[in-house]
Amino acid sequence: MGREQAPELDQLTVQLKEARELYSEASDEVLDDIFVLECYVRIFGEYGFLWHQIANSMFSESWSTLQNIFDLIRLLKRFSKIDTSALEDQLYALETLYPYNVFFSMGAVVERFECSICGEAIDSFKCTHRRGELYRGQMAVAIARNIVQLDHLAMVAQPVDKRCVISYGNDAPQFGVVRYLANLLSTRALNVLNFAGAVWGKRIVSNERHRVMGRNEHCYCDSGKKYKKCCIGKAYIEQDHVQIMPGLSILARAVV
Amino acid sequence: MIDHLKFKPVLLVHPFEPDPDCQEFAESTRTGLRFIAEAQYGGSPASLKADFGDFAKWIRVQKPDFNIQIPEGTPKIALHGADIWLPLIQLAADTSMQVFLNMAASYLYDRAKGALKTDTPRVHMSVIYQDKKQGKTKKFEFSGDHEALAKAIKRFDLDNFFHDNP
Repeated sequence: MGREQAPELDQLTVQLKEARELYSEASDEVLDDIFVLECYVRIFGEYGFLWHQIANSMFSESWSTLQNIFDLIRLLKRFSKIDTSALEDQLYALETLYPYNVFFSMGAVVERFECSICGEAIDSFKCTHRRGELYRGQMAVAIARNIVQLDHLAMVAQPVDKRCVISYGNDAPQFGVVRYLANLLSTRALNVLNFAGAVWGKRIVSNERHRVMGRNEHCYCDSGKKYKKCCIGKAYIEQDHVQIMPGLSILARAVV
Repeated sequence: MIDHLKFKPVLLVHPFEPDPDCQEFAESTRTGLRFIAEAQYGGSPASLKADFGDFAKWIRVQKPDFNIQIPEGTPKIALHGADIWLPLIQLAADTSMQVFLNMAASYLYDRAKGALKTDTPRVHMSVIYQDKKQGKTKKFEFSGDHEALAKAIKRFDLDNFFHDNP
């Protein structure tokens, strides 16, 4: 499915690109502000795309888009005073609906990391840039040059990149809750902006497998035990339950 | 059920048998600190943790006169976890553990700018230093979050905790 975004966002992207050229000789602050605005515009594009993917059952792909937005929010928080808390809270609530909580992390021995700005070894004092910092509107990134050896692969709870998962197919039962949310959105029972989170809990439901038997008979569940020692009290069972919570629009939450 | 993903802070201080390089550095008139390359899990060549360069530059900006010795041409290990892995560090005689720990805490605070509410990276560090009172070389090993590091710094009273836990 192709990636489309509102023409207004495309126009803003073009205007910011033009502003970069027009103000190429301006102060560091001006260029850094352009970087922040570019991130801001990209967040809107990714945010729309995320919900578009969810509404179209592209759950596996939407996980990566969600992580793209988190990366952009980190940049906004680092380099500006823009309050992203309402958006962050909503997206964190969305993240909890996904089945991923173990990630992969690779350890590799690298000959050198090159600075994306000056080309010197970024870990040497010859390079004056720090990775992840802004320099005239450009972020310094460390580019790995010559990977000497793959050292290990680890399973971690907090990776640098949450996209490193064993992904499930879009029809997998693990996406049940996101699928339920998608259904609420596509039937217009819930507006994207009003999604406020999910409450996880337990509920008691009737056990469809339960049968009434003589107390001393072998239990129907094939445990080998007598009914009275096994499933006699299991006419109702506890089941995981999640309730999608609507709330104020995040636009309103951002203003409050 | 045991939650294997739940991490508990680790704080250890133990006597350390210095190798000739460590001994030479400790007995020299050099100041500041030095970064040391370490062997990694998979029998890879000795390498420096990838966060060493950023930490070194941060110190250089904050304390331009502070001396930092970095081994030349050593490969780096890139760990793609969100945790911050500082390299093995040896403090020179003029650098106290308290000064170093406060520097590390300030660095972590700086690194945390822009973190999401749900980002809770841990820091891992190992520091070799001279316990002047006991005349011994010791190794300080720490893994934990900002909060645990703040507690460790408070605990780092050389007259109490570390003499009780040789």
